[in-house]
Amino acid sequence: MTVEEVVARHADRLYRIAYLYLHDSMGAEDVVQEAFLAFVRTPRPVAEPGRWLARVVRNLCLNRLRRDRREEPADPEGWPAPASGPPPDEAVGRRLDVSGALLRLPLAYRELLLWRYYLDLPVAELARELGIRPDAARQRLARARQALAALLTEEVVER
Amino acid sequence: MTTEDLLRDLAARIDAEVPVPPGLRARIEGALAARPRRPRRAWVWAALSAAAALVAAAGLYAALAPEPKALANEVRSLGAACPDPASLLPPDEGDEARLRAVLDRIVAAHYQGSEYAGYEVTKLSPAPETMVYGDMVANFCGEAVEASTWVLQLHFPALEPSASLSQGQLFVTKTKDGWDVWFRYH
Repeated sequence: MTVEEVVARHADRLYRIAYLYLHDSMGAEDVVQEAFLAFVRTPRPVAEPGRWLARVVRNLCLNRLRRDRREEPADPEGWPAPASGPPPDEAVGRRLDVSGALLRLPLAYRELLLWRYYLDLPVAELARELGIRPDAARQRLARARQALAALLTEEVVER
Repeated sequence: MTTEDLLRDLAARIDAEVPVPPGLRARIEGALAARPRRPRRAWVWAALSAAAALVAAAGLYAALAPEPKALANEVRSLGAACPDPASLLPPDEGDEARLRAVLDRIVAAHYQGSEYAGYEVTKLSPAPETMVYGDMVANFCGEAVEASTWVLQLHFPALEPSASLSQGQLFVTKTKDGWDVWFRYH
């Protein structure tokens, strides 16, 4: 697979991951670009480019959050408006802004949900990627799901 | 729709809800195209290596090598901060010679005391080539950092027979500002 093909296949998804870590669209662009530069610089062959790049994106995002001494979104203006508003009579579930709810979660919960459901990693692999024990990952994932459900319920009530 | 339904549908929802900037791929491809490329011909590298050896022999290499900016800083603990991958420079063939040229200064800055005099370099390797340390760096800081890190393994004869005290390891990365000793393992 050429580098161009790797970019075409993974760039959009990596951007969304970075955005959901940073809540900052410019920062997310920078991080994704830097991850691809790291990809072409690495001296070793990369077996799973998507997973490798996601790991680098995570590290870059965490480094940025540490550097900026923030763990939670500090750039609400950076949140892009949905491309088009949903029809008013859609089912409740379709009216929910799931990404917005994710961004309101603590980072530890948010990234668990991202790696489990967006990157589709089994819990054991997810735990290894995030450097936590599998049983801890399961427990934390359950709490993350509850927290997300609470936010989504709250959102429905508010609307 | 339940939360479980939403989670099953999470990827599609995120894809729909988080718009990607239209120029993202073009920007990435532009950055990749603009990166410095290494000459591919073997003879170019041979010539460059020979020139580098001559410069090193003349004692000029150390003067030309990047200043180890971080030497004045205290060694950070591993949990404190990984090097910022955005500040790292890609490894190249001249790294080892440049790093060896400043080893005395690096070791003196991080191991102070007469017991460290007469140190010996056991090994100087790129982190990816060291099984344990490479994995350690990759686990803590990611593979981008691992790719730019050198592991300096030292032996201090004056501290024998203690195996733990007589060995030292420093993790060093090449950054835009020079060599950054970002972790002292022992």
